[in-house]
Amino acid sequence: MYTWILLIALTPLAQAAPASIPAEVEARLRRLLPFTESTNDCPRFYSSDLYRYIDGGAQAFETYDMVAMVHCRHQAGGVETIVDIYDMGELPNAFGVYSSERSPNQRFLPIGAEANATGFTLNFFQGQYYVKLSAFGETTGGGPMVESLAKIIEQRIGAGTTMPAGLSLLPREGLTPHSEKYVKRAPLGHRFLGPAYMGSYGTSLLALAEADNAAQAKDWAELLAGHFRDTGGVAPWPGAPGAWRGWNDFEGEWLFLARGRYTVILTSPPARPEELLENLFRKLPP
Amino acid sequence: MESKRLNRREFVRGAIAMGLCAVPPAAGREILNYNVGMPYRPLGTTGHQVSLLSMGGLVMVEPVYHYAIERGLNFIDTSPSYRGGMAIRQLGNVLQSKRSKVYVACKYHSYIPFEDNLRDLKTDYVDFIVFNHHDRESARRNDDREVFEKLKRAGKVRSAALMTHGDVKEVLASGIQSGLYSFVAPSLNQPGLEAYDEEVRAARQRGVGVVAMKALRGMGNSALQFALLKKLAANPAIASVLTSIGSYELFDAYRKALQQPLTAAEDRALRVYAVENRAENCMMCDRCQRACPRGLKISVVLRSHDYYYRQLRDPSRALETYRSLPLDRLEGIDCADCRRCEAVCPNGIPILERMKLARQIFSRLA
Repeated sequence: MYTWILLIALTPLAQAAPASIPAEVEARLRRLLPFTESTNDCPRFYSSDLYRYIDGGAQAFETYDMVAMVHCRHQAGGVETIVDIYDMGELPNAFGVYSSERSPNQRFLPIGAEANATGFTLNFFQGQYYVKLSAFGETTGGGPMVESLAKIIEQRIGAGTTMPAGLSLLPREGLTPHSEKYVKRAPLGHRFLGPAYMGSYGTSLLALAEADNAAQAKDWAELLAGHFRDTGGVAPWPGAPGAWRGWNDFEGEWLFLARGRYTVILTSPPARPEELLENLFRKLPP
Repeated sequence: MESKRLNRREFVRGAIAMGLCAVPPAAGREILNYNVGMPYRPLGTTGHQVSLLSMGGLVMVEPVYHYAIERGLNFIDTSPSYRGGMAIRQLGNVLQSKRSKVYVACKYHSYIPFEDNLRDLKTDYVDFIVFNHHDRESARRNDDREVFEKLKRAGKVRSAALMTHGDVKEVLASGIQSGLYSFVAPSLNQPGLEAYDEEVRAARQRGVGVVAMKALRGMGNSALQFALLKKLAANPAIASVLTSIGSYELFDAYRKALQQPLTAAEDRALRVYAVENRAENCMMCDRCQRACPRGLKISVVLRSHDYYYRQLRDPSRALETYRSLPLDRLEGIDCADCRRCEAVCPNGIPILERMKLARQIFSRLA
């Protein structure tokens, strides 16, 4: 009898996958919290139950493979502060979800690898962490409060202020500051494309979808050509070897081609796209 | 005259009876943004026919929204809290050229002026203001009516709606009973579809639309996802299935699934899935806890054992949750073995057995 109970009890442990959340992840998250009081009451969430905290918003974090997060609410001196720290597992994921929530028009601060702020919120990413702070004062805005808390968390994270390496491939000339993004799944709405680094150049968007190898990058370009053939039109574009021009009524006009292990996509291309592509090709060998 | 408060069961019975004289949907009305490839359903008694597939949550890719709307989708839900406010602004970009083709639902947050949402959405009004309630106390206490009527008088919203993913059964019953909401949107996955069937039917009979959300959550297998979409479509009470769609391929696949009948093999696969997962899927409805004459924290023990320990495979979190309970509310020695908890459990979970197993496992891990 006891053998059976023990076997049943041990089965889940035997099945415990490496994906289970180690206690040290939570302990590390809690150590980052900038409060002196006990934070044991601050709930933590995982990808699987984050929707209980932020409902539909949880999907963005799932998309970037969130590991865990801790949510803390603190009240002092007439100001309510909310601190959310997300462990995204690795730097590109943290940047990816951060960049999905920021706009080039926001106010940026030198906190973490990059921070943006409004009068009462401050979001930043640093290393594998994405940190969101907000403070609501009864009589004043919470701006100074969130900045000082952000600096404490920044120090405790301690990692460098590195940006994802893939962003360095985007040409600097003409790039709208703070418009870079990392889209992990279905960039530009196409599920067959791998993760992509993107940046805005005026009204154009340049995306570099990273394939495993050159053959896969070429396959993706051909799949895009097929997609435009089915939904609008497609034709070879003479401005670059192997490039296509595609168009339809919901995506507008695109230029795309395979270059090394990247599929390069330029949406709403400018009147003279050659210059931007030449700048790119200098960084991106064939 | 003193009014008598109906309990939930009395209410559901009454609502079913009222269904006999329910107002039929506005048949023959023009369908907004009609496309032959998209099925439509009446949304309660609003007079709106909404696309059976609706998009919500996050606007990841604006062209996908254009694509979907061009193919007949006419119902979108958003929230100013999604993606730090980026999602609502991106939807605003889409609505700039598509507002006349879609019904827009927008969640209400007391700390964000609703006018800010309208500004971000680039519209003068939304069709539905959506209130979130995830526990019965909040649902009963709610001052939604006052907020709604003020905004309606100002011409900023047309109707109110209710979303819930916690204490779903009671929140739904309260919401339907209130008469305030034009539609309710419960978390309605495979086990939920069975557990909340009574409320879903009551909603329909009361003329309240039902929009299924978080339906595909946790179903990694896409064949099962498509089967569940077909099953939802086969339920006449469900007006629309609300889901996030970030790619053209997914939109096409979901739309295609909704047009096809559920096959016997798919239904069987869903039932097998439900049976295999049923007792593993505590709905966290708290009925067991409320039924317990000794006030044991049953649902917390189940959450520790079934959810954290067995499903998430996280012994430390399970143990932490289990240990957070006061001893006198935890130990099985207090259990009267009356099995009232099992009698009220909508998922048929063998609760006594699980409680004992949890005690054995957690005392060993301690």
